[in-house]
Amino acid sequence: MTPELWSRVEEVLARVQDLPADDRPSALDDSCGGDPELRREVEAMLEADERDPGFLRVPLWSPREGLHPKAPAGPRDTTLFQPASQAGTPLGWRPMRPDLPPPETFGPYRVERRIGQGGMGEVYLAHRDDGEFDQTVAIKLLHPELASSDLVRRFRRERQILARLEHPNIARFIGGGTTDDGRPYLVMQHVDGVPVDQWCAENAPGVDARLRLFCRVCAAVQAAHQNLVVHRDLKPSNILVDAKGEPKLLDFGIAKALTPEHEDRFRDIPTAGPLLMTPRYASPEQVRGHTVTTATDVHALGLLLYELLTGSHPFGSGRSSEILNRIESSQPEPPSRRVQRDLPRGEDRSPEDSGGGMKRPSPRRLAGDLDAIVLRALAKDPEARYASAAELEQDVRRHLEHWPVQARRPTPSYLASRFIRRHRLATGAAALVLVLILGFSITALKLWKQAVYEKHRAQEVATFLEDIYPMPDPRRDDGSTVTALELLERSASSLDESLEDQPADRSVLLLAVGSAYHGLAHNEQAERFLIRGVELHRATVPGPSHRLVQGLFDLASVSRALGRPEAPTRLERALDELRAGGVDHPRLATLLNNHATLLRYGGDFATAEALQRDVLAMRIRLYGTGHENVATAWNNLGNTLRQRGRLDEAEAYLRRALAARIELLGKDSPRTLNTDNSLALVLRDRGELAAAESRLRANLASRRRLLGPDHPALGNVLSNLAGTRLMSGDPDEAEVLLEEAYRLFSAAYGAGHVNTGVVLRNQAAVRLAREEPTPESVAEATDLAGAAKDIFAGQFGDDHWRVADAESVLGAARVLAGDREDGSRLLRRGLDRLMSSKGAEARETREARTRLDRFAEIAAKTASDGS
Amino acid sequence: MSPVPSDTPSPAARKPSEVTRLLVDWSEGDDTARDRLIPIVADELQRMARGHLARERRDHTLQPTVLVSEVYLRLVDRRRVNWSARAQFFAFAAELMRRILVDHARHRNARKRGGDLVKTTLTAAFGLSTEREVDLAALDDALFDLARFDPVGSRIVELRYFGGLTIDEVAEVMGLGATKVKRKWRNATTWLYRQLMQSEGESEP
Repeated sequence: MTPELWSRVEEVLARVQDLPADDRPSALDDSCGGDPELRREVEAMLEADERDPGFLRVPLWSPREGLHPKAPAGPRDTTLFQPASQAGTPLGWRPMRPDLPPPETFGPYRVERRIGQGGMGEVYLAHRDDGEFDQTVAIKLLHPELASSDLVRRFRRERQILARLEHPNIARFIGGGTTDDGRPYLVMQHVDGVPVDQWCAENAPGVDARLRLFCRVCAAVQAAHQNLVVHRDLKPSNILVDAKGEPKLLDFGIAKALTPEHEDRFRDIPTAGPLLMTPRYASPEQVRGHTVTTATDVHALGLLLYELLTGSHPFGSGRSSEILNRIESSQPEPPSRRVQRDLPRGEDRSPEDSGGGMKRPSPRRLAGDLDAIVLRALAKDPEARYASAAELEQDVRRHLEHWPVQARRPTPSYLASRFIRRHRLATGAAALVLVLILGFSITALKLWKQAVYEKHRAQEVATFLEDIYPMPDPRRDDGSTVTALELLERSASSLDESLEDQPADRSVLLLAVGSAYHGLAHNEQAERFLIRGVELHRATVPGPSHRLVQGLFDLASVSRALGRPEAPTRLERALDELRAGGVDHPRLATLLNNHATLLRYGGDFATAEALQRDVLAMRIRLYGTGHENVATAWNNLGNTLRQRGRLDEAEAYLRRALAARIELLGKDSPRTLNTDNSLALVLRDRGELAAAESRLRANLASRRRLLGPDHPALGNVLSNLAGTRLMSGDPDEAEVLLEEAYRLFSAAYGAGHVNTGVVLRNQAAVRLAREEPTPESVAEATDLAGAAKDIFAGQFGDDHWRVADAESVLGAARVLAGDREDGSRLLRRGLDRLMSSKGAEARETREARTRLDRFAEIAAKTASDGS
Repeated sequence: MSPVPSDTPSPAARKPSEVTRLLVDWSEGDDTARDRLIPIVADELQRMARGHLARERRDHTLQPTVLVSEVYLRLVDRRRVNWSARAQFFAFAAELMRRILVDHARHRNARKRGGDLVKTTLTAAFGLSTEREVDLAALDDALFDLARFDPVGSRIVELRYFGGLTIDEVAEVMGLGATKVKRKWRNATTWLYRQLMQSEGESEP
């Protein structure tokens, strides 16, 4: 091996080492080029790494104290002890007297060597081998000052409780006694391992591995709590990790055993002043001298989790009194922010803060769930923490499994993000898009949230959802991806067997599946599920339900799409249910808004307007007035009113919408520009042509600037500006503008699109507006109006007002072409139908009337000329 | 049972302030301090290692934990040295530890030759995932080979494996980025594994 070759090997390894095995060969092809020797070396390295990834990776030994001085503590047994009589003095390190020689034996145990020393005393490794037992133990020899008869008595009593504490993750308490010179000692199971923080520093496990380790610690603490033993002094040095990666908790109950008499009841142990605790790992209630409960251990677990995740202590380092102050009163920095803040190198940088050799997780990994979990465990008020170690463990597990954690507010976007993490439907963004388009997932999430937080039926619903989404593999053999429809089929088919005994939940799922089918335009299936869902929901959920209203509107919409005769009755039922009240819900408001938009497109302006007023009122109740969704409601209602020719009211709403959108979205937002365009049309319809024109030109300039010259969104404004110019008597510019609009629309949407049809209709109108229309332009107008009418009839059906409007224009062209009778008939029919759809005040209706008058006159004139 | 070695007084123990001062000087850039420091620490290490290794003969395990850290505790006033000085101390202790442990292993192997070649068994009491047997003499040879083309990698292994330094500490001592240390460490240990497996295969009949 040469240095040159090795450095190339290392280069390639850096590129391929962490790739999945499948991707390696091609990466090696790329990286090694035609160098077989390089490739051979790299492959040998990869193979060796795989065969024994742990080789030499764990140091032969670790300086337990030297590099990680939990100053001022000793190597392992670092319990700080202060006799109650010294409660008034500041907490601090009480040095052991190192000059006392250790005994060679403790009862049947022979001392092998000293393995630690701390404030409580010294720790020895000892062995018992008397033919009966073969046992290695850790013996804690208490400081002579502790050797009061009181302590020994108390200790004997505690012993029985401690002896009961059998748990694989708790170092067993074996017994205790008194040396010849009267010093009490404790015999504990010897644990061969390293403190958990050091273990993490050395093995650099990932965040998930650390969390799993932490869960095992929580489980051990919980087991002790169930045996009515509080640890009171949990800290990294009391949690050793053995060779198998198993955590073992040391010194359980020791603190308690050493606490004075009268304080032995479990849930209310008043500790008279600072007694037995390590300042850094104390809880606020310990600092305040309040009752120590299981919540104290939960706090300690929070500190541990904080350190495991960030490599640093939330309350920093420094003098004990300062730390205690911070523990009592200062809010810990969220772990994510802690790791983000790069500590400046310098005197403040203690080894604890450097996190040893620990790889710091990224702030993003910690932000959210883990921040919330840690901070909840560290709440100053014991009542605000997790109620038990088990609850804490459960929340960490929830996080690991991508379930929403209880420590966080269940906002929809948070729930959705967890849902998506749990069900990786496809990779990355594709999954997100799929789920969001589907919409179903969100509904399911709401349902899930409902179940968990309101009804406590998480298990059933969760199980159901798991059944629906059994982790589909996006890269299946046939290469196809799981489609939204497939997912839905799966949910639908599993619905029949699920939640038999939970009809209310089942009804919601039926509605959700129906709604999803509707979203995918599978209306017949949608109708089936919605009908069943509505019936079951009505039968099982008493009182108003926004889901029921949602289902009813979906059903009405589906029926209309299917051309069902019961469509109007279904809509009425939905409206009745809505107006009965008590169903305010953001999602329902959105659904109603979309429904109203569809009604307006369909030409049912009256129902659309009524529904939009419902939406506006509901949204103001839900959000107040300063919300984007309210601005949308104003905008939509304003547009409908404009379409109906109720210009003053329309202007009021549109101006409100415009002001709100400028404030909330900025003046260049596409939505703001849309409202601005609508407002210009109100002005134009009212005849304020100059004002309308300058507004439209400014709007057009903004869109050009933001979207470029070829964006179809320019087409609407071009077409509207053309109309305004025409009304101002400038058909030439109108024609140029319409040409441009036509180019943009036909390129973006195709020749048969409604927008293209509108331009065609306007082009016909411009041709007819000329003072002296030539026969060619009349023929063109006829063709254009006819084409527009066909497009509208194809899109909306023959009864739509746009068809009527095109008919009216076509009629005028016919009259000019000399076909007076047919022309007049079309002019009249168009006007009649516009009257009934849009009402007398609408611009199109007024124009059709003017047109009829003007061309009837022309028809009469030509008739009289001819006669 | 005899008292643990750390309880016997040593010449060096009488002057912790001197060692501390040397260490502080060294960490502040005075390399002559290092030269004066080495013999004191090496003596102390040797002296203590003898005690530990003598007992090791009995139970076939070596517990080097105490060695360096006890020397450190004994020689250095911890309140006066900062983190980087500590890391430096352990970094050069790693070198000494390697020498002591490898010499011991070679000595033992030599004694046992004629019978089965018994590898030095180091009970991995320090968070090792499985108990491993490492022939320290062979590892030492392999480290020399590695140093021929990757001296940095070889030193990283020495610091990590014999000195117990963490990745960050190695990075600090060597003036490298932690990511680079980690990568080179991984590659170096992998290469050593290949090397040792190879020589093991060759030595088998």
